[in-house]
Amino acid sequence: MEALALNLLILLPLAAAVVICLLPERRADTAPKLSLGVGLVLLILALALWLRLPAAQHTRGPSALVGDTDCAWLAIGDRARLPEGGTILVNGVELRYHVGLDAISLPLVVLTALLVPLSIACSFTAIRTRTREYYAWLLALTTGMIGVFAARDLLLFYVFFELTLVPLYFLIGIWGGPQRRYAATKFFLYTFVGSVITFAGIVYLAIRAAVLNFDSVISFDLNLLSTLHGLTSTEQAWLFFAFFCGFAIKVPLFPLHTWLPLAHTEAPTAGSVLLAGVLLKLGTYGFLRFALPMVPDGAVHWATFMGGLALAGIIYGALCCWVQRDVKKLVAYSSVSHLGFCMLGMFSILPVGLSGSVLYMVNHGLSTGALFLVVGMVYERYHTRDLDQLGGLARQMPILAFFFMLFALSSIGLPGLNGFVSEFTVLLAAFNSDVLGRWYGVLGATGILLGAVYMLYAVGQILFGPLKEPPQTPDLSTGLKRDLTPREIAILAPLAVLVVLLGVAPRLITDTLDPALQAQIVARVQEATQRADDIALRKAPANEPTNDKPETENVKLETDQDRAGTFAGSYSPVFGFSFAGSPAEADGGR
Amino acid sequence: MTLLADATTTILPLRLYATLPLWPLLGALLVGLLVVLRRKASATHWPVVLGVAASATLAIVLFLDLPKSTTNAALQEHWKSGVSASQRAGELYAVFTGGASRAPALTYTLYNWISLGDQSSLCNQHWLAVNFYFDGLTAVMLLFVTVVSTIIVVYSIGYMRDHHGQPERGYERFFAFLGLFVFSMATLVLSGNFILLYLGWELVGLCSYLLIGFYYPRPAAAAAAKKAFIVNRIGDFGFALGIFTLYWFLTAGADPLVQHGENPLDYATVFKYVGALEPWQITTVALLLMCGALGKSAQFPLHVWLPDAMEGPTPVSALIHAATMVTAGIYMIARCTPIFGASPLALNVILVLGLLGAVLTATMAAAQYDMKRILAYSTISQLAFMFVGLGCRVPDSAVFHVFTHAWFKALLFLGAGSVMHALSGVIDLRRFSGLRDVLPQTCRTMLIGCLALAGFPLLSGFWSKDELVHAAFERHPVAGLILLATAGLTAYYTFRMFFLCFHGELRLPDDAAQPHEAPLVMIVPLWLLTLGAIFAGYLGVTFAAGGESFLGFIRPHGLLHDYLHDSTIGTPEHGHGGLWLMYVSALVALGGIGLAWARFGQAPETDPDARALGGLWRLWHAKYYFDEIYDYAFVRPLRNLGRVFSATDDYGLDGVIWLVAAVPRSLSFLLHFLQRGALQGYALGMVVGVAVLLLLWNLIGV
Repeated sequence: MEALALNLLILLPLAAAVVICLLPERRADTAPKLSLGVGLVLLILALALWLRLPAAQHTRGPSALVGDTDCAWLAIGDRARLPEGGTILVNGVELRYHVGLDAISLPLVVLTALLVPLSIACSFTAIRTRTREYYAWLLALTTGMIGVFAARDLLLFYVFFELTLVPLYFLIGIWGGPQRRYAATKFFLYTFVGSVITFAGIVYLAIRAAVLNFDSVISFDLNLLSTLHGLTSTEQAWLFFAFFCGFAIKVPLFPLHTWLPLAHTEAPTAGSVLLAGVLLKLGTYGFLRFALPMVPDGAVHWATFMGGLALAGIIYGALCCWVQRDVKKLVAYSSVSHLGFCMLGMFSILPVGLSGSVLYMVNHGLSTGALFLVVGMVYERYHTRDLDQLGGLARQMPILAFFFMLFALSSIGLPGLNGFVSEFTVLLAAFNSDVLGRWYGVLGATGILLGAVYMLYAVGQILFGPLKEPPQTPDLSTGLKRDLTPREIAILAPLAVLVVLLGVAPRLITDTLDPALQAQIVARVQEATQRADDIALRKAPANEPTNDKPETENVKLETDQDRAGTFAGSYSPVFGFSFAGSPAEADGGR
Repeated sequence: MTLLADATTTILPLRLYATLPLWPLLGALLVGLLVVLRRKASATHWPVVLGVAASATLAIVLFLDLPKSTTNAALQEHWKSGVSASQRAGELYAVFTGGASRAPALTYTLYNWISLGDQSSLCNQHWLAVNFYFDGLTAVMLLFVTVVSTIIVVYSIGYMRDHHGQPERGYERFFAFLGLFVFSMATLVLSGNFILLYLGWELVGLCSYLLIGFYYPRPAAAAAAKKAFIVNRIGDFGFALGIFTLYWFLTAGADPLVQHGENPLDYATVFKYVGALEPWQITTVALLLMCGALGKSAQFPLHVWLPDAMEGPTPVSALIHAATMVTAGIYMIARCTPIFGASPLALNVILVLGLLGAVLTATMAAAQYDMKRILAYSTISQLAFMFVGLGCRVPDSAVFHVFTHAWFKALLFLGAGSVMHALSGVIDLRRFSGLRDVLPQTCRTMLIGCLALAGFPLLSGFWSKDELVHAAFERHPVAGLILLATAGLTAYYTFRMFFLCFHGELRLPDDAAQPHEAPLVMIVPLWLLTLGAIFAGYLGVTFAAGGESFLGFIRPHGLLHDYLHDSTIGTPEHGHGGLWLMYVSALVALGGIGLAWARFGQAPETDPDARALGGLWRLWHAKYYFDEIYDYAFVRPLRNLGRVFSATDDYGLDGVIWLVAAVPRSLSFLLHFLQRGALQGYALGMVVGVAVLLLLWNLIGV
C-alpha cells in the first residue's frame, strides 16, 4: 500500500498534467479545479505516508523507508543466464527506479504536497491566460519535486532534479512579469550549467564505487554510495566540488545567487512559492543527502569554506533586502540570507546543526512560501510591488495584515513560531562546532538582528503609516474583495497553523528525523571529522624538516591511506573489507 | 553549617501555578475569536480582564503559598554581627553554588520542547524543555507583574474610549495584545531555563512592537515601534550569544560538566555547575547576558527606544514601564546572580553603566516638556538605580525597587493618561497648566505618585531607593554620592512636571474640548495604584520599635527580602551607622522638591532652566544627540553597505556571470561567419575538412 501511495504521489501529477493538456477547449475551466483536486489527493497521500513513518522506524530501524519501491529501469551491458532462469547483469551500467521516503525526505515531501495545492489555489484569479498549460506545467513540476526527494538512486535523483527545470522555465517564461523571458533563461542556464558538472561527478563517483567494491556493475544506488569507503581525500574534494556546482547554485549560496532575485520576482506567485518553498531545498537536500555522506572527507575539508559562503550569504542577503524597493525581491533576497543559515547549520557537522538544518528547510518553505503568497495577494489587488507606492494597508486589509505579520515574525525567528527553533539550533551548532567555530556562530547571529531590520522595514512600509495606494486600485475586477476572500484565507490558514504548531512542537519532525540523521549522515561525517583531526595531528610532524617529501600533496595522500588502514580496524570493522583494497585501488586509480 | 530548611512544598499543585501565564493568553485568543465572530467591540475586553485577573489571583496565592526564606537563622545572626556586603555575598555564593546543600528549587516541566540531539557518543540526550521555576524571586515578580497589569487593563477599558464612551478603533486588538503581553511577561518570569526566558524576552519585545505601533497610521508610531523592536534585538543578539557561550562552556570537551539527563540550559543545571567554570568564562557569559538586559531594561547605551515608545497608548506605556518589559532585564540579572555574583568585572561594568545611565537620563528628564517622556526618562533613570544595586551585589534591593517602582510608575503614567484623556491627547506641558481644579482626583493621585518617585519619606519609593543608595555608598563613596545627587535631581524634575501640570493659573490648549475628570473605571485603578505607591514599600521593611530604626519604628529589610534571599545572594541590611543616610536621602528628596517649588511652583510659561543653563540645557533637551549619533554611526553606513551590495549584485556579480557567458557567445559569434549560407564557403570548408581528415588518417596509420 505504501509503495502504491508513493508511486501515485510521484506519477499521479504527471498523469494529471497530461489529462489537463488534453482537455478540450470548452472544458478549460475545469483545469484549475481538477488540479486542485489532484493536489489535495497528493496532500492526503503524503500525510498518510507521514503517519506510517514512526511505525516503520520502530520495526525497521532509524533509516527505514516508507513506500520502498525498487525495480530495474535501464541496464546496459552483458547479461548472464541464471541457472534457475532469467538473466542477470554481469557487467555494465544499471539504472534502477528505486524510490522510498525516510525521515529525512518525508518532511520535505509533505511540505511539497502542502505547497502544491496552495499554489494551485492561489492561481485561480491570478492566471487568466493559457490556463490548461499552466496547471499542466505546475503538476509536471510536482512530479519532479516529489521524485527528487523520493529517489534512492543517484541517477534517478538527477533525472528528477533536471525535470524540475523545464516546467519552471515555462512557468516563469510564459506567466511571469515583464522581464520573464530573460529571467527564465537565466534561471535555466544557471542551474543547468551547474548540474551538468554535478552529473560528471555522479558518474565518476559511481564508476569509482564499482571499482572500490570489486563490482563489475556500475550502480547509482544511494545506500551503496553513501556507505562507500576508500575514496582518497583528493578525489573527495573534487567530487565535493562537483556536487557543489550543481547544488550551491540551487541553494543558492553566495555568490552564485544572482539568478534568484530575478527569477523569484518575475515568476508568477505559484512559481515563487514553489521555487522558494521547495526548489531551493533541492540544493540543500542534495548537500545533505549526497555530498555529506558520499564524500564526507571532502565535505569536512570544504566545511569552513562552505560556512564562510553561508555567512557571507546571511549578511549580504540581509543587507540587500534592506534596500530593496520591490517587496517580492526583498523576500527573494531574504531567502539568500535564510538558506545561508541552513547551510551554516549543515556544515557545522553537529547532529543538532544537521537536524536544525532540515527543520530550517521545512520552516523556510512554510514562512517564505507564505510570504510570497501574501505578497502575491497584495500584487493582485494593487498591481505593484513597489514599497514606496504602498502603505498603511493594515487598516484596509486587517486579515492580510494579520497573516503578513505572523509570517514575517516566523521568518525573523520569533520564539514560539517555527523559525526560531531551527534558527536557534543552527546557530547553537555553528557556535559549538569544532569544524566551524565560535566566530561563525557570532557572525551568523548578526542575521537575527538584520533579519528583524529588513523584515520590519517591509512590514512597516506596507502595513503601517498613512494609507498609500496607487491610483485606480485596488483592482477588484476579478472578484476579489478589498481584504482577503475566504479562498485566500483558506490558503494561508494551514500555513499559519503549521507555523505555530512547529514552533511549539518541533518534535513532530525531529523525533523521527534525529535518529535517521544519526544513522545515515552524522555517523559518516563524524568519522570524517575524526580522520581530519588525525591527519592534522600527523601532519604536524610531517611538516618538520626531517621529512623531505617534496610535495605536500603526496604527504597528505599517504597519511590518508595510512589512516584508511588503521581506521578500518579501529572505527568501523564492518567496512574493513572495502578498505583493504582502497590504497591499491587509489594508486591504480591515479 | 547547614543552611537549609526542609524540602519545600506548596499547598496547591505546581501544575496549577504553571497555568498562570496561560490565562491571559487564553483571554487574548478569545478576543481573537470574538473578532472573527464579529461581535461588538464594546465588550471584548472581558476575556482579557478575566484572564489577567485570574493570573493575578494565582500570583497572590503563590506568593502566600511559597515558603519564604530557607536561609538559616544562624547565618543571618552571623551577618548581623557586622560583615561587609561583599563578604556576605561571598558566603552566600558559596552556599548557592554548593549544589547539593541547597534546597531543590520547585520546578514543573510541561514537556520537552527542542531536541539538542546526542551531543556525544555517550548518547546523552539533551532537551530544551518548557519548564517553570518557582522560588521567592518568581513569586515577588509575578505578584506585581500580574496585579499591576490587571489594574492597567481595567483602566484601559475607560481610556480606550472616546468622549461618548464608544470604543476606539482597534479596541479588540488592543486588549488582545495586552493579554499577550502579560502572558509573555509571566512566561519570562516563570521560565525555568534560558530558552523559555528568551522566548518571553522576545515576546515582550514583540508585544511592545505591536502596542507602541498601535496607532500605526501615524508614521512616528510605526517608526517608534520598529525602533523598540530592533534596539531590543541588538541586546538580544548579545543575550543569545551569552546563551550559546554558556552552553558551550557547560557541554564542551570530552568530559562535559553537564551530566546525562540534565538539560544544559536549565537554571538548575547552570547554577549547579557555574561554580566550576573559569573566571574568564563566567565574565564572558555575564557580560553577554548583560547586553540583553541593557536592551530590555533600556539602559545606556541602548536606552534610546524607551522615550520613543511613548507613541503607544498610555496604558501601554504604563505596562511597559512599570509591570512588564523593562523590569525583565533587572529580573534576569537578579535571577542569574550565581553567574553575575561570580564576576567582579561584570558587576563593575553594570555599576558604571548604571551610574552613567542614572545621571544622563535624569538630566534629560529635567529638560523635556512631554509629560510622558519625562516619565520615560525617569524610568530609565530608576532602572539605572537598580542596575547600580545589581552592580553592588544587592540584587534583592534592586528587585525591591522594581517592586515599588512598578506601583508608582504605573500610577504616574495612568495619571498622565488621565490628563491626556481630559485634554484630547495634548501632553505638552507648555500648552497647559493649573489643572488642579479641573482634574482633582488625578491631581491628588499624581501628587502621591510624584512623592513616591521623588523618594519622599515613608512612601514606597523611599524605602527601596534608600537601600540602593546605601549599597552604593558601601561599595564606593563616589557611587553613593552620584546616586544621592541623582535622587535629588529626580525629586526636582518630578515636581517640575507636577507643578507645570497642576499648578499656576488654569491654561488649556485650544483644541481641548471641555476637559473633564476621568470616568470611575479609570479613577478607581488610579486610587488602587496610589495605595500601592504608599504601602508597597512596607513589604520590604520591618516594624521595630527603638534601637536602630528610622523615626523610631521602622527598620529596613523585611518580608520581600526574606523571599528573595535564596534566589538572589545578598543581604541589604544596613551595617552600623547606616541610618543617618536615610535621613540624608530624605532631606535630599525634600530639597529637590523645594527647589522645584521655587522655580516652577507658579508654572511659569517660559522655562527658567532653559535660560539659566543655556547650552547644557539644550544638550539635555536634545537627549545628548544619541539618536543622531546612532543614525550616523550605524544605521546609515549599514544601509549604504546594503546599497553597495545590492548594486554589486545587479552589476558586479552578474557582470562576472555575463563575462563567463560571453565566452560561448563570442565563439558562436565567430563561428556564425562560417554559416551565412554562402555556398562557396561551405564547399571550401568541406574540401579543407576532407583534406585534414585524410591527412590525419595517414598520420595515425589506421
